[in-house]
Amino acid sequence: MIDDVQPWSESQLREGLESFGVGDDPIVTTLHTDERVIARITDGIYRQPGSALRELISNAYDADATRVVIKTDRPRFGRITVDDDGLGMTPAVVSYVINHIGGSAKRNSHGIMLGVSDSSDSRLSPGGRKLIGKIGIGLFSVAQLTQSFQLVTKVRGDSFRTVARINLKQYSEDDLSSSAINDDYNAGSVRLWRVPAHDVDSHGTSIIIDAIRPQTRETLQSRGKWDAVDRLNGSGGQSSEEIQPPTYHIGAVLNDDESTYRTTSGFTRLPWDNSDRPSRAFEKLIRTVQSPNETDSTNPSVEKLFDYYLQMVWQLSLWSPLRYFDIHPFSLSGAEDFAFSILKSDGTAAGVKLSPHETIGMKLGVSESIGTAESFSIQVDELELARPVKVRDFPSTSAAFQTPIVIAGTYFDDFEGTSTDLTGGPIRFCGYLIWAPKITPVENRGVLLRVNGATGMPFNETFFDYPVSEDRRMSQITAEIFIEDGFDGALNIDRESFNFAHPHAVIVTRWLHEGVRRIIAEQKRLSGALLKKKKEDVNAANLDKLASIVSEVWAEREEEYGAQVPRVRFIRADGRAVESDSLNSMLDDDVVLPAHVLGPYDSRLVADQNRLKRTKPVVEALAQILSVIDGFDELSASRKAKVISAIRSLMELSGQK
Amino acid sequence: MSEENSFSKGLFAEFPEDVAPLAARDQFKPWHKPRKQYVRSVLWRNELEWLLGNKKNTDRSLKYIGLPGEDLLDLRYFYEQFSSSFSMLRFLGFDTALSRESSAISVSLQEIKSLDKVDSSNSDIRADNFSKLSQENSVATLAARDFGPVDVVNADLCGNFGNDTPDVAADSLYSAFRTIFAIQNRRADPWCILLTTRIDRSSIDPVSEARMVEIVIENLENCEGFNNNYLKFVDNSGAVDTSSMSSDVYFNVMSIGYSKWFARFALKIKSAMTISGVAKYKVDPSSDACDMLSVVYRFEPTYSGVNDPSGLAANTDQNFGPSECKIVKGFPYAISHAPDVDEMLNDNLLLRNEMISTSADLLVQARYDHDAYVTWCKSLFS
Repeated sequence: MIDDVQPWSESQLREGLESFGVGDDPIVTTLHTDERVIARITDGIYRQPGSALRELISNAYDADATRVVIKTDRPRFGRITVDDDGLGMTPAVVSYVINHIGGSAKRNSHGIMLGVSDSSDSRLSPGGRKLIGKIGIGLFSVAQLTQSFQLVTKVRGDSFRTVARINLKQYSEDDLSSSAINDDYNAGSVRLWRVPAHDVDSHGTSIIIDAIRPQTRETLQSRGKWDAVDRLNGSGGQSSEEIQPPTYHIGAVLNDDESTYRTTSGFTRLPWDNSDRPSRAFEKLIRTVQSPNETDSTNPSVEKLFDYYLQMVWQLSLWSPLRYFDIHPFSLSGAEDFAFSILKSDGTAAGVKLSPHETIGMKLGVSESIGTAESFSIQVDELELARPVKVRDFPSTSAAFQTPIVIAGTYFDDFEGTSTDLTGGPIRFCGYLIWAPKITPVENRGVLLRVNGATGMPFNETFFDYPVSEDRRMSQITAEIFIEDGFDGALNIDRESFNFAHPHAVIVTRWLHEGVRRIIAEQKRLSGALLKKKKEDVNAANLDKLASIVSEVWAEREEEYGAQVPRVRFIRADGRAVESDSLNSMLDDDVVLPAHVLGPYDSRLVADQNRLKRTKPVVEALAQILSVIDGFDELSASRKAKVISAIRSLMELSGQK
Repeated sequence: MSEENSFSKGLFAEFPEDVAPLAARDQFKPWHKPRKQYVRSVLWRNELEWLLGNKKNTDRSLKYIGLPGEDLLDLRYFYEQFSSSFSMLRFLGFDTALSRESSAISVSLQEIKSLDKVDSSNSDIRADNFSKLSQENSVATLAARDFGPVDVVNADLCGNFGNDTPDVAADSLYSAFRTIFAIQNRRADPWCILLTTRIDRSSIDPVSEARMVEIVIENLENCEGFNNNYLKFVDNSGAVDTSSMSSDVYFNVMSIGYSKWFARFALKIKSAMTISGVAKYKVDPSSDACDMLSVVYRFEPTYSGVNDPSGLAANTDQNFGPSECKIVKGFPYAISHAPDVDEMLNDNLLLRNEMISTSADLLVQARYDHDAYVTWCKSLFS
């Protein structure tokens, strides 16, 4: 077992190798990581400013906060504060964080010792939440936003607050080259102090991000976009879609005077009013990208409709363990006009019928709040966030088949009998896939993977490289997978991607691909059946119509002479009747025609079979109508065939028009 | 930076000043003096009591715009005194110190925001000068507009707004108040301005001074009640000659002038205005009269009819709402009877001790040393 291996120091190992002799036993030791690698990682591994805020939210969540409030001085972004009412950090925790940048105390015995984890299970917060963040990484994720920030934190019962001003050093390889290999990497400086607190019972942490990096501010301000708009306005040029102001925005400040709005931005353009409650304001924001009617966009897109700040708010709401803006996907019940299936662990799937009061969650035996957190809310300026995923009332399209299809399932494997060195431990998850005629916004197309309710990833449109080209149908699927146990090891440190080779990732991907295959097959089956039925209904209606035309023409003859509408028989060149027409019960009044009047026909071709189905009743009716004309039945079979063929060709020409 | 490397222009943020983390809590500033506590506990407290008792609509929250300073003492005071009377406290503060070393404010903010009845989601301090409200398109103005009409505007100015030259200064406090009135115009309930400002010859711009004299004279000429009171309580000569009047009279005339300036805004937004509290004290020890005015202006929106500009409706041809004369006639009495807080605290030991004690309690909330404060106060009166 790897755990039993005793580590050799670097000097021991060097000496061991240098003195290694033939026949000696191999040296067995453990692998070591370099702490400076971690320092490099925490210096700025994220691609966007929102990632840093996400990590701070995760830390607040792990500290059992019920509320996180992010305040910005938008649209200037000179200062961002993140306040939470979590447990706060004791001096011991602050000391640990300062001395172990990038090393999380959570999920290990340090966490228990420092009180940042549950006393019996280091994977849980003291309040019993499954941990989603890594304290040493989360705190320093702010390097993405600033090189200097403040920390004010207090725990309940402490008559002091701990205050820190942290200045981060820009990472440089030159620094590394000039330092000794074993030197600890100096990531910056920190000033710490304690101030008396009279509110002994209060608790929480504030991160105050000031001195925000200029280029980060420019990003948050959507400055590039507004500069382009202004340049265009200045030059009087033709506007294109790329350089239109965003449909909804928070306005923009002047480049050389950030306390003043640009006149071109017209202050703000937001879909909510000042009088709206924060939750209502967010609902209004989300509706603009959920419904094509709200904006003039067939396929509403967060990226196209929102400025950078609003996009970031939308992302934070998607990433965080929040309640759903509408119902939880597992609360979909038989009351909805959906087709439900369960994907079982063995890869088989079966359709299920749900009663109006029965939910898919009940059917699966899964909580209808999985992936969300109770008593946890986030407010960003005047918006109270909720998960911007809607799983019903999808926009309709012109397609015939509109019924949403849901496939959901659970999965658990403890890999009994296989070493955890190979498996990475047990994995447990559940998930759903929904096919709908249109998924909005376009950013919600694909699959989103949540670990303990949180994620740092966007929806993955490729469904983790689903191997079959089904672009159109895949764009009509939205899915979420909720990891309950495991997968943490598969997540990359930025939590924005994962290691596809990890066994847990492989299992999740296989499950997902099976789900995608099943839901596409089900969609094809159901839409095909609908199409077939529609065609049959049309055919039946057409036959009725033909019969009525013929009987109207024959009505007089029937009345006068008691004559019956003649039957029509099509005889092939080999003397056999076409299809099921029997020659055994031929009557004298039957109209017999050569089969070639129906047009060219090859029984091996499906197209010909389908055409014959359409043509035969029409030609039959035509022959019956012509038969009403005196003398028509006197014509020779070949004359009749010529006339009917000619009329059929004319009809086909007319049909082609 | 050379032309060749202009792409690095503006790339680096300035680190905040590396000053002492927090000022020593046994050192006190002029605004910590017990006279400030008198203003809080007599003028402001009375007004807040009245305002909260006279709210007409169902919103029981207390909304506040002000210049709270790094210790947020006024906010702490209002919370302590009135938290049982309001449902929630929401505030918007302006303090340029935020853009520099701001750890003291950060600590104070966390303390205040963790209080039960503080709406932390909708309360904040912005790193803007209050005078930025003068610009229609400033970030500060939009923040104030979004915050909406308030119960209390606490313009506790370190300096004075008479220093600004009218119509000239880009970020003048005059224009900032214009924005405040525009925002408050949407308000149905009574509200107040708590104004604290320097009033002395050296701190008032000559153009402002001339304008103030002008608007005082206007009322002397057209409002009998004001004229009588002015002659009786302020200056029986009625000359309004600033060059020859005493410092005391100068203080009163300018204070009346500024009060009239506010009253005219009140009329514009169809509100009655009264001076519901006033006090004065001396900041410059060399001055021969009080030079600091602390005044409470109460605004009460009134019913106002409108005449039909197109003439289809029968017009009443009467002036709706309160008249300027009616509003201002009491000003000469109110201003000239402003108590000198320094004098009162000097003469009244009981009052002084109470102010020192309650002020010390308030400062302790902001982590100041109680005993050091009491010792400091004693030294002020020795």
